[in-house]
Amino acid sequence: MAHLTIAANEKTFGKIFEAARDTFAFDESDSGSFGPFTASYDIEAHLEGGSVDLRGDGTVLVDELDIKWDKIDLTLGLNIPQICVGGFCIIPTPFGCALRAPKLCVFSANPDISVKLPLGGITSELSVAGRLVTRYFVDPARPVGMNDWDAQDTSPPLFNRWQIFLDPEFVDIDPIDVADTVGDLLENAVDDAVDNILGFLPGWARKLIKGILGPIIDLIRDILDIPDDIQEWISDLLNVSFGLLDIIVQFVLEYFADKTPITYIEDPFPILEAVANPNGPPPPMLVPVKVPIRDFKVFNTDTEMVIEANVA
Amino acid sequence: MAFTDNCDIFASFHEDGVNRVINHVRRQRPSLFNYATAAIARDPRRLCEPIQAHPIVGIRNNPLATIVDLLPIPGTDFGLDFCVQLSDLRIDFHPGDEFALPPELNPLPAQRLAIRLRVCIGLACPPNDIVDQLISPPNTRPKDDRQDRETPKPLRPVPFRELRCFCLDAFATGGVRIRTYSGKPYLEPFLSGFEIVDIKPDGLEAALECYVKLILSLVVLPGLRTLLEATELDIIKNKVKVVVTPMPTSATLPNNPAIENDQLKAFAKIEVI
Repeated sequence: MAHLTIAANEKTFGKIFEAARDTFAFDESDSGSFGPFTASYDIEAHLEGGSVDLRGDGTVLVDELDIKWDKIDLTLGLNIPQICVGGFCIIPTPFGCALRAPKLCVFSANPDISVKLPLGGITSELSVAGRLVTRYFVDPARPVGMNDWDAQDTSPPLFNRWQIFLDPEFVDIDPIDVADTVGDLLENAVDDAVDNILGFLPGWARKLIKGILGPIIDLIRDILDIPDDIQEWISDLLNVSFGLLDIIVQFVLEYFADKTPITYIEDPFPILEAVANPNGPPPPMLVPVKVPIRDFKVFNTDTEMVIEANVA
Repeated sequence: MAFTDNCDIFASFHEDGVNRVINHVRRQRPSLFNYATAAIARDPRRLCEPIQAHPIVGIRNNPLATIVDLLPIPGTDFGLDFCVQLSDLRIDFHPGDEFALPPELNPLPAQRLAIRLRVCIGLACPPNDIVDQLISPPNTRPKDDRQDRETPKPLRPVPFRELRCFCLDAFATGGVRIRTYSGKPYLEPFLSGFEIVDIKPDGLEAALECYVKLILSLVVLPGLRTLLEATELDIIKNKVKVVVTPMPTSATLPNNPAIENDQLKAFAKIEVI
């Protein structure tokens, strides 16, 4: 029989899960170059809803957890081919051009325009099934031979610890599905950006250049090789090119399963704190009393989670 | 039957684990188990029982014994060096199977625990030749009561060569209960029986047992009470905290905490904060 047994019922486990879920916050940004354009994203998300179910086969199911994308700002940097107007000869002579019209070029920067698409406010659904496991962690920064009391006194502490993780066996996440109005959003944003760029030109030149360009969105489609369905192209950019799905899955797995333990206890575990030396200094304090923990394990039935451990 | 049929959180501690914890405390904080005057504490080889301390005690220069005052010899300014050592302490949760109880306490009642302890006491009794040298000559000076009262002299240790040691084995039975004081629940240990082994005459043993029981019941055990209200635990480090409160007893939960099957069991409800 284990020296120490602690059990929490499914309702309690659910409450703890809900509290952990409500503290989850995801904030990520990155940028990349994709052939004719550059893109960057800045996203923020939190978790809502979902349920946790302890199952009789020893697994835990976190079901239909909503990832609320509070912010998905996608910024596209577009490089439009340079267009020049004017520069033609007004008074030609046998010795060359005596007078030329002024030459004005636009879209000579790289990228020429940058448009931000605010795509937030959408929801993805995540389900994770896994098994509660314990792992023993020895801080790699801890020098070999350092005793447990010195390890506790360092800043940050380097004590060993027993950790509890949810080891995922199954992860399912809905792709990020942007709204079908994203095509209009992109067209308007590009149109405004072009108007801004051409703002320094006289009216006749602006009309001339826009006449040369034709419909802006068609131009962007040509440049970016965007298929007819812009909505699908944006979704693909976020989900596949940037791999946001992988990022969020990885983040959730790390949060629940890999880097961030559900909880941990120090080993050896301090049961009496350091107190003043009853005989007076030196030393001023007595060492804390620590109890080595062995055979630390966690498992669940369909009704409760159980932690067992022995004292060495 | 699940552990948590009648509660949110269940915890149990087996007597084997508790006894190992006691052993770790004794080795890492020997000054909780050993008390000696300065002369003996400075030279632990003179103690009645050798102290087996954890290496960290020496590394951090922690004391092996708590220093106590000399035992006064009334009417003199001399004091005796002495030591008191708690050299064995074991706990047995019901049913009693860890050690044999004396007939007066046997069998261990249900929902009770037993404690076996061995106390070794050493007194620095000087040999007669030293005592002869300490006898003061007749005092021919007029007595000054006021000066005697206002300036107590520090005790002078009586020289000695070795301690005279003896050890007493004692057993206690008791339990742990939740009691409410001023509307707040406390977990408190209580004493139901105490027996010192092999002291004669019987009247001396009974008187000593009475005195120790009073000390334990009125002084020591009340000091070990633990307030159970709003015990906050950091369940998920820096993210989720819970407040633990004990479950009230009921027909389905007749004892909380319960002492049974060699374990101390506690049943609690929690509130996540």
